Amino acid sequence: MKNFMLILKKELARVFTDKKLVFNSFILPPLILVVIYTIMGSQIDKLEKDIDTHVSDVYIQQAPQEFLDLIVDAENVNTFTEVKDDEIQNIKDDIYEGETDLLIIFDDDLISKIADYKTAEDVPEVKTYYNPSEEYSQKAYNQFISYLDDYEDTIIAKRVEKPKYLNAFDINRTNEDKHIVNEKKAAGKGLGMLLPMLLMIFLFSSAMGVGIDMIAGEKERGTMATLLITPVKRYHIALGKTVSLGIISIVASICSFAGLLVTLKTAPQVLTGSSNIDMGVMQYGFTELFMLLTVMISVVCIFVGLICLISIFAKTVKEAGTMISPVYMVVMIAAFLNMFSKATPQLWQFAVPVYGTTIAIKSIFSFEMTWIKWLVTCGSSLIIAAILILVIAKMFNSEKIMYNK
Amino acid sequence: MLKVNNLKKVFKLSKKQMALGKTKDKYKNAVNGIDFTANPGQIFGLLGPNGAGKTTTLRCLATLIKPTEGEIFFDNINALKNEEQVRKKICFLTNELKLDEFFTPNYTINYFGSLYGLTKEQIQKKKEILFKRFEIDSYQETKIGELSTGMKQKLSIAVSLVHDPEIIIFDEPTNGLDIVTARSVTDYLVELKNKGKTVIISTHIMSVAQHLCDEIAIIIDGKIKINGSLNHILQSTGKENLEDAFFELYVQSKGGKE
Ligand SMILES: Nc1ncnc2c1ncn2[C@@H]1O[C@H](COP(=O)(O)OP(=O)(O)O)[C@@H](O)[C@H]1O
Ligand SMILES: [Mg+2]
Repeated sequence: MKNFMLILKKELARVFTDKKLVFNSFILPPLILVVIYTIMGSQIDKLEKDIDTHVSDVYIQQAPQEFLDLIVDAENVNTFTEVKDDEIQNIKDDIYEGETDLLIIFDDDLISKIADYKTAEDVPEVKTYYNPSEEYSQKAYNQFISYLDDYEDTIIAKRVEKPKYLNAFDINRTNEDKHIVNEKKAAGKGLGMLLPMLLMIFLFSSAMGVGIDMIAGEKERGTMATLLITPVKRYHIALGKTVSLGIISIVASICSFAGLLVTLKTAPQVLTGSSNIDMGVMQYGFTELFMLLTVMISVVCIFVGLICLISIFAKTVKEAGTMISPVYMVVMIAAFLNMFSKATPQLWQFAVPVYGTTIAIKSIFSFEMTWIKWLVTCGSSLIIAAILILVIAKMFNSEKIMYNK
Repeated sequence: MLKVNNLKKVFKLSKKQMALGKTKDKYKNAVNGIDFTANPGQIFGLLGPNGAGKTTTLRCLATLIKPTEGEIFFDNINALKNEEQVRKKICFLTNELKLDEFFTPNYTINYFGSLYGLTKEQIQKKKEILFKRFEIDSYQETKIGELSTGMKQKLSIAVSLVHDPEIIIFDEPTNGLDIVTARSVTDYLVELKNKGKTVIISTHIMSVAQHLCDEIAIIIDGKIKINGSLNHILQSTGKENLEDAFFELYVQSKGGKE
């Protein structure tokens, strides 16, 4: 036990007294996190101000005069009311490209259709086309949807003889392509969703740098052999190294976590997509933060185990790097798999290593995490980490692996 | 005292190693049944060409690898059964064993001293003697990475001797050293021997074996061809010097094979 502590102390001293390592492992990742997200946050803010003052181009076909009267005072809008049928496709293309913001097509003879319809299928229709991945388009759509609602209200008020339907016309009942989405740009808006994955990558890479050096690096430089000829038990060496890497990585994850807190404060809009919705750090209580930190720490234990195990098999740092790359890939894929999923995950999914942690982090951010899910996530991670450590201790006893020059 | 009985080490070769060694054999008999005894107050030398099995033998003695067959006794303690106990009595030095360049000599010797279970006072006392002997005093707080090669080598020796081992095992002690450091290392080995320690070295350099060793074992292809004092070897081979004696045995063993 004393020897274990000695090794632990030395490994910690090795890292914590090395300014370069401290910077790379503990300061850089949260710094990157804060900088990226603060820049992104201020971009989003700028974008919103810009959107508020943007003058929208709105094309309206066959608009009833009453509606045109309603929008005559609309702010920041250029309306084009003379739209011919052969222009429609061009306008839609422009919406896709983000050149034009909104197209509204009223049924011809809307007024008389409103007066005459009998069944729900006959309810007259107004079609709108916009591009939700374009902020300008989204804004114009929101603005005009409320005008259309107002317009409907005024018609209903006039036509009290048909109160049982309580609607005068439908918006987009048969129109299935009202969203003219540019997929790439829509994905770009999901940067907030990237956060759990970014965290995972930071956690893995900071454990990787230190871990490879601690084991494969020591083998390569010949300092491991110096340790192996001392009377220290092999499993004490194994434990000393893995536990110290664990401690170092947990400190690193606490640093990333602190970076995350700063991010939530400076740029809450990256998580929520809008700074108007105030859902910053204040809204995450102690429970969420505690769950987040513990989930992060438990996944770090898996990372540490994986990295140590691979580093033992490698003869050099370079070889360890090559061997870890595929594992790194798998970890990233596991972390990214759930990125675009909106479905509520099943309980068993939380037990899947790494993948489960990502969905756990996502669930925490969206206030959907329960203690059962938390237990499953952390429990499975810790069990896997424990198995890895047992294997590592065994490997330290193998001369083929430890002394394979 | 060190006693080795019928020591064998067989390596199972990987495909890569087979290709590298241009061999179709899956197994390599690196050490092929050797016996010898090394006594306190003597320097025992394993002399042989590259690949003869010297390093492998010494690694077995140092308990870094396990022999396939045979026995090793240090003062009647079975080294294969009491690894940790034996490690406290011996030290193993080679070019391949390095110290972490990030730390200072002072930190390093304290660290290894405590790993050997010494108290702070014991370490301090030993450190003063060793650092003085190897002229490391003024570099105590310099990072090892900033020391010269010769200084690093001296520090390695100092650190490996911190627990005052009875048996010193040294693989190719003068390899890669400039003549001045090499001389100070061999001088120190003589000092240790005069203190009654058992010193075992390996070398492929005739003059080192001839001048330094009290007993020489010539090892070729994992087998000891002859073992004894310089005089004994010269007499049995009827040669004038060690080099001629060595080549006589070398040609014999290679000729016998082909
Ligand atoms: N770990 C190993 N795996 C396979 N072969 C080895 C290993 N270590 C040494 N050998 C082989 O055993 C033989 C003896 O090597 P070694 O003891 O290093 O010789 P020496 O030190 O006398 O030059 C060589 O042919 C070497 O290639
Ligand atoms: Mg050798």
